[in-house]
Amino acid sequence: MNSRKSGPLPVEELIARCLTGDVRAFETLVKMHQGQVYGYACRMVGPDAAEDITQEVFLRVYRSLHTFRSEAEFKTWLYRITTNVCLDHLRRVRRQGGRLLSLDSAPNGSEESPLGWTIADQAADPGATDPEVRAERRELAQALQQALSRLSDKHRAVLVLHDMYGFRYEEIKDILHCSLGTVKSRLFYARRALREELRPYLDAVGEWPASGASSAS
Amino acid sequence: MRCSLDLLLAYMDDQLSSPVRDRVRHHLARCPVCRAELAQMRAMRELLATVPAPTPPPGLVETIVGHVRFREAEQVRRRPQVRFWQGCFAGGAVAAAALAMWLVGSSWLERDSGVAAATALEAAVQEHIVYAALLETGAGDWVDWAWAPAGDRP
Repeated sequence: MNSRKSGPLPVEELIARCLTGDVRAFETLVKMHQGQVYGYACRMVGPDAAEDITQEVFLRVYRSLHTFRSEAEFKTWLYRITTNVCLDHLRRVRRQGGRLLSLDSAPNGSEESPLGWTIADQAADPGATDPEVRAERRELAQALQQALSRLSDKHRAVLVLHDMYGFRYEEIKDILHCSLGTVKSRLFYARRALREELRPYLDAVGEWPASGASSAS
Repeated sequence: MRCSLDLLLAYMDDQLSSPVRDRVRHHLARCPVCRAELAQMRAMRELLATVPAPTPPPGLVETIVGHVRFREAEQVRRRPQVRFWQGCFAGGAVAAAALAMWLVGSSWLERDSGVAAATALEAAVQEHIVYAALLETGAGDWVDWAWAPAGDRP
């Protein structure tokens, strides 16, 4: 019971406080969700633009919090805004003939791969200290980002939301404002295209035993 | 059952009804191609799921909150200006109303004085006609001409 009191405020309470002009409540809301928004933006538009996208998303959230309906899931609403900001950005850049999803740049000149797969993250894995394993993973991360960047924006959004963020079909339908059939079809084509791109890496995966296939998750 | 990537992916995501799932399972037991396909798809899904989340740059929260605070401060700063302009507008409206009333009033007064002048003029003309008629008919002998206008006297 004490932990409930000392724990972070629920999102609904934070939103209610934000609506009274409590900027500290909004700061808490940003701290709670900045990782998700920034990460999703990285996968959608690349790390170069992800910071600006994140700022734009939260400013939009602040401006339109009064339109948020409490019966909806805040996370779904937040991802919908992020998706819209990302798609607007991609359309704008494409119109200006710009380059999308910079594949070879790491933010702040760090050793981070375009997917944000940092050496520090890999350090948690004992195998990651091996320079060869590190190089392999870097190459795989590059290949993955490259493959993701070749997907259409809408196919990439579905794939990232489902396979990287674990959203269910129904939730993705609400985030992207499309039908369930569209979600399924986009996911199917995105996975098939990504598998073709990553085939050289996936061919190393051995055939799973027939019994293993029964444990569908 | 024939090989179907669509069904394999639905099987992987646990989106099939129980009878269809059983049929796919039976098919997988006999088809090494589909088993390899499923293994690759699972490996890809796991790869995507295990890519660590990128770390937001330091100071991002402060930047965002700074923008919001600036916006709030701007709104507060603008509020008195709005009142000032509203006040100016209201004052202007009162002044315009007063001016309009004065103009309308004075035009009424002017109209009244015009009517009075016209009435006087008409009376003078009538009087001249009467005196002229008296002279013409020869009835002027019974008229006290001292009251008649100088131009109308015989």
